[in-house]
This record gives sequence, C-alpha cells and structure tokens, in this order.
Amino acid sequence: METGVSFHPEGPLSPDSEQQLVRQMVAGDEEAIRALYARFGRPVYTLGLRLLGSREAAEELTQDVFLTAWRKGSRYDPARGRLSTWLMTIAHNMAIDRLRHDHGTGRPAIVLLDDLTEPSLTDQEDQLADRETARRALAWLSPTERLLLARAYFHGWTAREIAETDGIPLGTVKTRLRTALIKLRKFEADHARVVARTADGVLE
Amino acid sequence: MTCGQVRERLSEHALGLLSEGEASAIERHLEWCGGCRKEFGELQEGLAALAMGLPPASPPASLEARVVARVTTAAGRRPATVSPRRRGRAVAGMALAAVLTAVLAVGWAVAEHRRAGNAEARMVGFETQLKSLQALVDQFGGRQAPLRPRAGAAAGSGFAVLIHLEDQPDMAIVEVLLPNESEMPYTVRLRDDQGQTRLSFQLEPTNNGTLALLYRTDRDLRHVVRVQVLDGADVEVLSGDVQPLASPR
Repeated sequence: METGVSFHPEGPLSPDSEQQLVRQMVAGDEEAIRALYARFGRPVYTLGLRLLGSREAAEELTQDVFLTAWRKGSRYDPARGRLSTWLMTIAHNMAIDRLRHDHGTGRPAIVLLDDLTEPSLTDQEDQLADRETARRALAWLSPTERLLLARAYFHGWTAREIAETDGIPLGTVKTRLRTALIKLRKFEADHARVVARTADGVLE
Repeated sequence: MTCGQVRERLSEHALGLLSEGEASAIERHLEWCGGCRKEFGELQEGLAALAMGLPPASPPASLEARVVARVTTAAGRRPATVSPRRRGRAVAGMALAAVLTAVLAVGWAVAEHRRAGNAEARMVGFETQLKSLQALVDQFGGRQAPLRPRAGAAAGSGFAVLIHLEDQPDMAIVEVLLPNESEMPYTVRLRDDQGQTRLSFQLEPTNNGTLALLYRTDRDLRHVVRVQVLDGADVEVLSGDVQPLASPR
C-alpha cells in the first residue's frame, strides 16, 4: 500500500500500543497519525462511502473522523474497547448524523463501490481475514436479521422506518434488532477467544 | 432510567438510531453503570467488526495527506512533509461525475415512492428509474441488458448497464427488484465471450426496496457479454445478454 510510512497495517496491536498511538496522535505526532491512517483510513472511508454514497462525502467524513479522534483522544480508554471499535463507532455516529441532517435531500439509492487501486498482498490478506470474520459473523444470523442489520447499520433506517416499510409492529423490529446484535456479540466473543488463543500460541 | 429500561434501548443506541434526547439519557446512565457499559461495549464491538469487514473501497491517495494536515494543524504542528501522492491515472472527470449525479438523482426521485410502502409503488418507481437510466445510457453510449428470470424461477426483474468512457475506469450498474429477498446475498457475475467471469460483486439493499450496486473498476469490462444474478445458494435467478461493443476502443 502506498502510505510512505514505516508502520505496516498488519497484525493486532496490544492495548498498550493502541493507547500509545492515540497519545502520540493527540500530541500531533505525524508518524502516529500516518500509522493510524494506514490501519483505519480505508475502513473509515469504506464505511463512509457505504453510508453516504459519494466519494466526496466519504473523504470529508474520513478527515472529520480523524479530527474528532484527535479531539476525543485524551478520553480514549483501552479498557472500554479496542481502538478499531472506538474509531469505527465515531465514524458510524458521524455518518448517521450526516444522513439524518441531509434527510431532506434523500439517501443514495445505489451503493457505490470501486477497486481503483490494487492493495498490496499483505493488505489484501488482512482484509480478507476481516471480511471472512464478518462473513462468518453474518452467517450466524437469519436472512431476515441480516437484512434488518444492513438497513439499520448501513442505511441508518430507524426502527420506526423499518416497521412502517415492512408493515410489522415497532416492538417486533426492536426485538429482532436486539436478537441480531446479541447473536453478533456472541460470535464476536467466541472469535475474540480464538484470536487470543492464537496470539498466545505465537507468543509461546 | 433503570438498567432494564437502558438495556431495552442499547441495541438501537449502538446502531445510532435513537433521538438525541434518548441517546444522552442512555449516555448519562452508561457514565456510572459498569454493567450496562460492558454490554454496550460488546454490542459496539460486534458492529465495528461488521464495518471492518466490508469489502474495502479505495480512498484517493491524497486523502492521507489531507488527514495528516488537518490533525497536525489542529494540534498546532505543521506537517513535516506535504506529499500528496498523485495517482498515475486520471481520476473521475466531468462526464463521470455527471453519470453518478444523474443516477443518484434518479434514485432519490424513486425514494419518494418508497414512502408509499407497497409493492406496486416500488414497481412503478423501479420502472421510472429504468426509463431514466435508459436515457442516460443513450447519452453516454453505455451497453445495457434487461435482466429476466430463468424459466421456472420466481418472478423478478432488473437491469444492468456497462459504461466505458475514454480514460475512465469502466463502470457496471446493476439494479434488481426481487419478490423474495430472503436468499441474500445476491451476487452479480459479469462474463465475457469466453464464459470467463470478469467481475463479480454482491448487491446491496437500497432505500427503494431494490438491490443495487454501482461498481467502478480498473478491470476491462469491454468483453463482457453476459450478466448473471445468483442467489445465496449460487443459483441463477436473473440474467441477460449485453450487446458486444461495435468496435474496439
């Protein structure tokens, strides 16, 4: 990947190094900002593109997410979750806010994806591993639950909008969302254990 | 708010679906309640994993420099090196921007129909969109294919458009309306005259009740002559042929 930095966006970071990286970013350390961008720039941009539907909006969102991360960085606590979760939550919240704000102009009807640059092999392997994890996590869900999550998480539909569109009671939508997230959480917990075991194996 | 009331709303909060007032009431509770905070963190981890697992898009190479500049400036430092890397090839020009804007504008118009919330309105909206897209294809000289169900398959319809512009990445736009969306995910395969798959990608639900994707690619789609839509079990549900290009570019 063309990042021009000595950090490589590979392998999990320990909670300590994640916090260290955030601290350096808060201090304005350029190398740390580049390292964070190398790891999370593409996923943040991808999520922005998925939710907002235009490259310009996704680029603007990415810049704002990193700026917000810098602003909130001193409050980042690794005990409360991984850095990826923290950053992707910031990104998702900001994108949903923009969707809500721009509600009058409508949301994109077509999702835009492209593959203009070929990522490096390691990069691809990393992302394939991530995608495989996400695919397996989604396989835990029923088709109805997958569609529900896609609408809520990637399209920002509220429970009420889903209920009205599908003609089902609001309470049912809320229950189904909750069930889907609990399934996802269980998968995540099991997956985290597997990763932790693998990491331990490597350390030994 | 009691823990019970908070837990009832945690999923929606993690999805960012609550109103500002409701969200801040939950946040206040999470400030002091470790148990709810732990559960909330786990829900967020699951969702973040989904986000990290999206098929990656490619941000422009210049974005890194802009991010670095924004943060270092905010932190009161100037970036040590300003090196916006320029990609070798031309990025989207006016023609492409026009295509995208037109396609998206058509989608927004159709979004009005979704509010009616019934299948008939969706069909009307879909056909309106199809007509607008055909006009667009004529304008830009793209190749299009109506997608029809295979014999004996459930009803459904769709269209595919392939656009080839000078000095621009090729584009494929596919949108389908299927009566039964339970066989997700639906995959599109673009096949060439040798039967080889040139590109495949998954369709996404749109707010029109259809499944669609606009894909820009460096891969050469000029030899694509057949478009297939396959369901989650890899069974073809829709397909169509596109006219071969009259003459090579």
